Amino acid sequence: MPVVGIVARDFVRAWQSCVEGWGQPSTAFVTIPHATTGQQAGFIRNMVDAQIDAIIRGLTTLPATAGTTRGAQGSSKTTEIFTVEMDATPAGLDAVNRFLAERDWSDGLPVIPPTPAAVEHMLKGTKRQPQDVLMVMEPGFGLATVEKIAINAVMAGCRPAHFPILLAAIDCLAQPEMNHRDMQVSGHTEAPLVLVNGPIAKQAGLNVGTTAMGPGVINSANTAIGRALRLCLINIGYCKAGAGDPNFIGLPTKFGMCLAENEEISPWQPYHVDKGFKRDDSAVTVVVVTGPTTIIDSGSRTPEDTLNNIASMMFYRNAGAGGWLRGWQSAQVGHTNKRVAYQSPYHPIILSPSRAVILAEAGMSKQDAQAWLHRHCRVSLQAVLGTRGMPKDANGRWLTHPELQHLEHDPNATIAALESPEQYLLFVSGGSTHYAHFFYGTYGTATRPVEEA
Amino acid sequence: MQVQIMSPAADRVDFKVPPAPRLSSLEGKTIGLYNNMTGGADIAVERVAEHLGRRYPNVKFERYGGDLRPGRPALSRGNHIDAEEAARIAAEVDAVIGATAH
Repeated sequence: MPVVGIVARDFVRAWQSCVEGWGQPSTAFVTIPHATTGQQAGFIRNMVDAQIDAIIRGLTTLPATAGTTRGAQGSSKTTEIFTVEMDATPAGLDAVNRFLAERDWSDGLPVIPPTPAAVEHMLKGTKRQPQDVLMVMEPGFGLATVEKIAINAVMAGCRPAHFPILLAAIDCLAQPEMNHRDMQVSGHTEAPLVLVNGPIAKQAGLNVGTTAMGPGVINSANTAIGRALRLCLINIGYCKAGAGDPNFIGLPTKFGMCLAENEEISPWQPYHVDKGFKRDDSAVTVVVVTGPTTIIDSGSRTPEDTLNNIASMMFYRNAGAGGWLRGWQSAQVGHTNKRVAYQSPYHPIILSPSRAVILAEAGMSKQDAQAWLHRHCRVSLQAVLGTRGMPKDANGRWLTHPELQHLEHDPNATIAALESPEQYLLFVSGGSTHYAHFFYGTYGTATRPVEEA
Repeated sequence: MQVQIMSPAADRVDFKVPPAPRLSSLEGKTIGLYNNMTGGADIAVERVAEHLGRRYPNVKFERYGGDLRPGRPALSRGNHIDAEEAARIAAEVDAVIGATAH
């Protein structure tokens, strides 16, 4: 049936990218100057008024270009190889970067040329076969083969020792409960945060101490792995800035984030052990986040002080607080649009070892701390209901959590901000002092084992 | 010096849908109004309905997305419609106008 979309001007390329990925490039749309989000009703109506004739045309007239399909991006079995002239002049040194940039195959920063020899070297970091497909990456529905991932890993500056971590991160994205589609195409600033546990972290040279999420030579592995994942999202998922990726403003976190747990200093068991792995296993967790915000905890003298300080970050209403009341989120997977329910959000809280120690010294396990946060971080029920209401059955009964419906009109009722304690994802890393990072989780999370070469 | 580089761009799943036939007129048709429950999308599609209702007195509307009428739960629980819900919409209306706040 004919469909017309009402699309804000800055989302036109995103719309076109989306309908192309869905093989429906002739789907009609009209353009309004601004997104409707956060605008007053009268302003929205005025924007729409100017488009009524175009909407009717979209429903009644097939554009002359209908039936046009994308050209040279179909499936091929052999990776294209290009020859680029380089020399020692400034332009010659930049030739590969320029070649890639002209095709929108970069994150905008200089890359290592992905020569066949460099890619072959990268592939020594895995036992998997080059043409193995790890996932179909949206919104472009690109085939994430081991070889394509290796090419992007070379570009990012990865070494073969880093490659198993990158592959495990993509294994995470392949899990339906990650909802990687929404992560890719949302106007919010979602980015994958890669968390590494187990012996692989040291083998790969990941910094788990001071400045672990920052720049610097000691963070080369952290930076390269995070960046490689972003290049995969761009070049395999076709999540191009301004098109498949329509983030309103963006954040530098989208260049890449990879962090390992400081397991030697942490007083708690590592995160992957919480998820059922053995301590000597290696595992990668990916969680979709926005932020972070730094928590400065210098004034705390007790574990309650620290937890209260962390909890003070949790009350931003639009960060998913109380959303569980309407049931789990659902991810959609592939061209079939199969729906998969998943629990969300997970809020990663990156604790400096010192912040974990102040809790552990008071006898609190990680699970105790999570339970404390779950118990104390609450949101007004009216605030939750007020934004979207509740879906009801034919008898007016809430479809989800009907046991709480008796509180519907109680102005003082509160509910837990997150559904379960484990959604406060406590992860110990960085130098040992009085700081923590708080990320707002947005979509899904998954943990997968690292398959070493 | 010549350098050979491998394409980092992935092959894509080949998926095509034929263009939807357009309507000859909106007169007497049923139009679906889909908003994904993000900010202002409901206002946008309702404004379209106001205009179309004036131009085509016999046009009817079905609302999807932010519809909280009891007994119509499937389209009110998430931001996106799935294949089953899309099939239901296709059975109920002749065309859809959508807004997603963007």
